[in-house]
Amino acid sequence: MSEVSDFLKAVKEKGEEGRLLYVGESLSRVDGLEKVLGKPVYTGDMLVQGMLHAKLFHSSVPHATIREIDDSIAKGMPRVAGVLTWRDIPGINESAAVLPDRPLFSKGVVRSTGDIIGAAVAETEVIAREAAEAVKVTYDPLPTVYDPVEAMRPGSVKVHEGGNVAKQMKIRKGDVLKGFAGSP
Amino acid sequence: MSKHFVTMTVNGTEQSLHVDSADTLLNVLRDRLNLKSVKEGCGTGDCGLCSVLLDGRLVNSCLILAAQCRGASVTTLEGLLEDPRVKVLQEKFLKYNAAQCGFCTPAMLVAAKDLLAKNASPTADDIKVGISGVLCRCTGYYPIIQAIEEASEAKVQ
Repeated sequence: MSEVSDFLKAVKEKGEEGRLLYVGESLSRVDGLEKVLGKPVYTGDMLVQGMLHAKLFHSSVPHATIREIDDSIAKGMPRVAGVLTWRDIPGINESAAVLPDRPLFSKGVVRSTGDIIGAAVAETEVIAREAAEAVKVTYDPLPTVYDPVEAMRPGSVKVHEGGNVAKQMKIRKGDVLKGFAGSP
Repeated sequence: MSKHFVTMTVNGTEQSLHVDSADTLLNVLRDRLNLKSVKEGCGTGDCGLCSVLLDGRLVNSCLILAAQCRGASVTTLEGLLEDPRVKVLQEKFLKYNAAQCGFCTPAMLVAAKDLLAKNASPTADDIKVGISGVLCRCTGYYPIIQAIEEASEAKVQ
């Protein structure tokens, strides 16, 4: 309660001076001191007894169907806990933020160099990396497009089945020509 | 992998450890000596987030093998917290909000401290060169450069 009333009081006081509480004010970060001391703990700073390490393996080609993922060597390496691909995802295999068009682990097709195909999991980071590098993926190449303007043309290579345009928005507001004409 | 016995001075304290041939200075600082201000951004010498002072030279600790550090003196941000110049830098980083996510901040501070030790009154261009080995992906360089500029001898005193 007191925090709320302090807040309202501060808003009121500043308001009387014709100012806003935050907008237009120079504020210090609440976690700034910790940061300049190098103290914050990031995910990569955490070590838990017995934890495993994962390394992703990525597509080496820009556009292709995946013929085969051979993880037999990687899985057989000592101290490797396993290799994960799309088959190991029981739920929704999706990691995109805007449109559901980017699987976490590629299934059947890769659409860019660097698409994630899977992860090798091992007792140490070094072993996990070695295991990830030991996974052999074979591809059947598909035609490619590298330019966004080119990709928007109707006859372009389809990176996505439904076409390459994610979304179209039309914004019409005011009179631009008039605005420019009247600007100094 | 063969083991090497290495003694080095880290932040003023002598450390003796067995290291593997492939262990980097970065691994030893972070995983063995728990100095977590030293970050691994890329592990390939591109980002500079693992910057430390090795015998007074600014280096990427991911590119230095621990076995090379026999007899060396290593300084991380943890070892610079009482340094008066670093304290001023920290103050100015706070003032200019030069630490947003904070991940590059320790390396920026070590690089800035190294720069100011060599050049007490750097120009903005000198500062850009001085921190050019450390990548920042969110704060933006402008507040960082402002902070270092204001922490330099020309501005303090």
